[in-house]
Amino acid sequence: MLEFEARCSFMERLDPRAKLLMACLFSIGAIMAHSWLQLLLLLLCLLFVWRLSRLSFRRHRFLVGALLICALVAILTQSVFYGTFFGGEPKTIFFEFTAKDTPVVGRLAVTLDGIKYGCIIALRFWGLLLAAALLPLTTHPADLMLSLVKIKIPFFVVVIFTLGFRFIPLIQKNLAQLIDAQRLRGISPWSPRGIAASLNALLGSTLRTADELALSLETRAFSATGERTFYRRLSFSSSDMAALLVSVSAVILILLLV
Amino acid sequence: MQIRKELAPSVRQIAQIGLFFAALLAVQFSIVPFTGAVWVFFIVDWFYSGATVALTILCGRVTKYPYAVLILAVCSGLLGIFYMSYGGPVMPLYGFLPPFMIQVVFLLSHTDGESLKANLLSGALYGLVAGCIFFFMVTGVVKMEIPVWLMWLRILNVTVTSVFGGFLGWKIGDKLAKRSYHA
Repeated sequence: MLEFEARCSFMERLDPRAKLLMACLFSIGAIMAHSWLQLLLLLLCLLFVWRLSRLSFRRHRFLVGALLICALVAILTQSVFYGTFFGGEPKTIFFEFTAKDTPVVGRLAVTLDGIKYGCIIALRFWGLLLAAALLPLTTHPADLMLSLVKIKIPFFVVVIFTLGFRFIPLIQKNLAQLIDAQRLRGISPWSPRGIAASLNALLGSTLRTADELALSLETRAFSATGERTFYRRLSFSSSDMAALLVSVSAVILILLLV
Repeated sequence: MQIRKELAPSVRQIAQIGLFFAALLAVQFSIVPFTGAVWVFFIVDWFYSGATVALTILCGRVTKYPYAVLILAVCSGLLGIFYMSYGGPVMPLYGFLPPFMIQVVFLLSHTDGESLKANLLSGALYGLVAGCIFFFMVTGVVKMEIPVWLMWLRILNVTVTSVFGGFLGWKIGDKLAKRSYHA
C-alpha cells in the first residue's frame, strides 16, 4: 500500500526521526489551519516536498483513491450535518430531510454552507494524509526499525513490529486459500459457520508458521545476550536540521501571516 | 531499554505475537477500501472491531505471556506513529489505548483470555474507548461536524461488535490453546 521505493531523492537521505517530526509539523499545521487559503498553501508545501521526494501520484493510485474517497465522504457528510455539532445556522438550504425541531435527530438538510465546509474538511484530510504518507514512502523499512531502536524501544518489540509487516502477504494468501476451500465444501465463507471455520484454520496454520519462525530465529542467535550491532547507521546531520527549520518556518508563516 | 529477563518473552512467544500482529494488520488493511462506507453501513464494524478484539484476546490466550496484549498495544501505537493517517499526532493513542484496556482487564482479573466475563468486559471497554477516541479525532482533529446522536449510535455499535469479538476470542481460544501445546 505505502511501500518504499528507492529514488535517490533528498528526502530519502534525511534521518527518519527528522522526517517523522516534519510529518508531525505538517499534520499540526493542517489541524490548526482554519481557512481554505491556509490549507491550500500547506498542501502546496506538501506537494513541493513530494516533488523533492520524486514521488509520483500515478504510482500511488491507492493513495489518490483514498484522498478522493475522503473528500467525497467529507463533502457528503458535512453538506447534511453542518451545524449539528459546533452550532451555526446554515444560511442557504437546498433540501431539508428533517425539520429543526425533530426530536433527537434535529435538522438534517443539504446546505450550501455545509458543502463549502465539506470542501475545507476535504483539504484538511488531504493535508493530514499526504503528511502521514511522507515517512513510509521515503524511508527504507530497515531505517524505520533502526529509528525505533534509537528511541530505546526494546529490540524484541521492534522485531514483532517488523514481523507483522513481513507476514501480511502470507496471511492474506492463506486466508484466500481457506475461503476457496470453504466454497468447495459448499460452505458460504461469509456465514457465521464459515467465518468461525476460516478463522480457526487460519490461526492454526499461523501458529505452525510461528513455530518454524521461532526455530529460524533461534538458529540465527536471536536470543543471544550482548550488545547488538547493526549494518546500517543513522545520524542526525545538518541537512536534517535545515529541513526541520524550513518546515517549521513554512508552517508558522502560513498559520500566522495568512 | 532493558527488560528484566523474567519479564521478557521467549523466542516462540515473540514469533507468535509477531504473527498475531500480522493478522491484525491484515484485518485493518483489508477494511481500508470500505472506510467510506462506515458512515452509512455500520456492518463494517462487525468485521473490523469483532475480528480485531478476537485476535487480540487470542494472542494473550495462546502465547501464555502475561503482557502479550500490551506488546500488541505498543505495536499498534507505533503503527499510528508511522502511518499517522487522518488522526495526525493523536493516531498513536487510537492504536494503543483500546487494546491496552484489554490488557488492564486481564491484569486486574488475573486471566489471559480463558474467562468469558473478562473477555466480554474487555471487548466492551475496547469498543467504548476506540469509539470515543475515534470521534475525538474526527471532531477535534479533523473538525468534522457529526450529530451527537449518530456518534453515540456508532459508539454503541462498535461496543456491541467488540463484545461479540470478546465472545469469539473465548470460543476459539480453548481450541487453539490446546493445539499450541500439542504441536
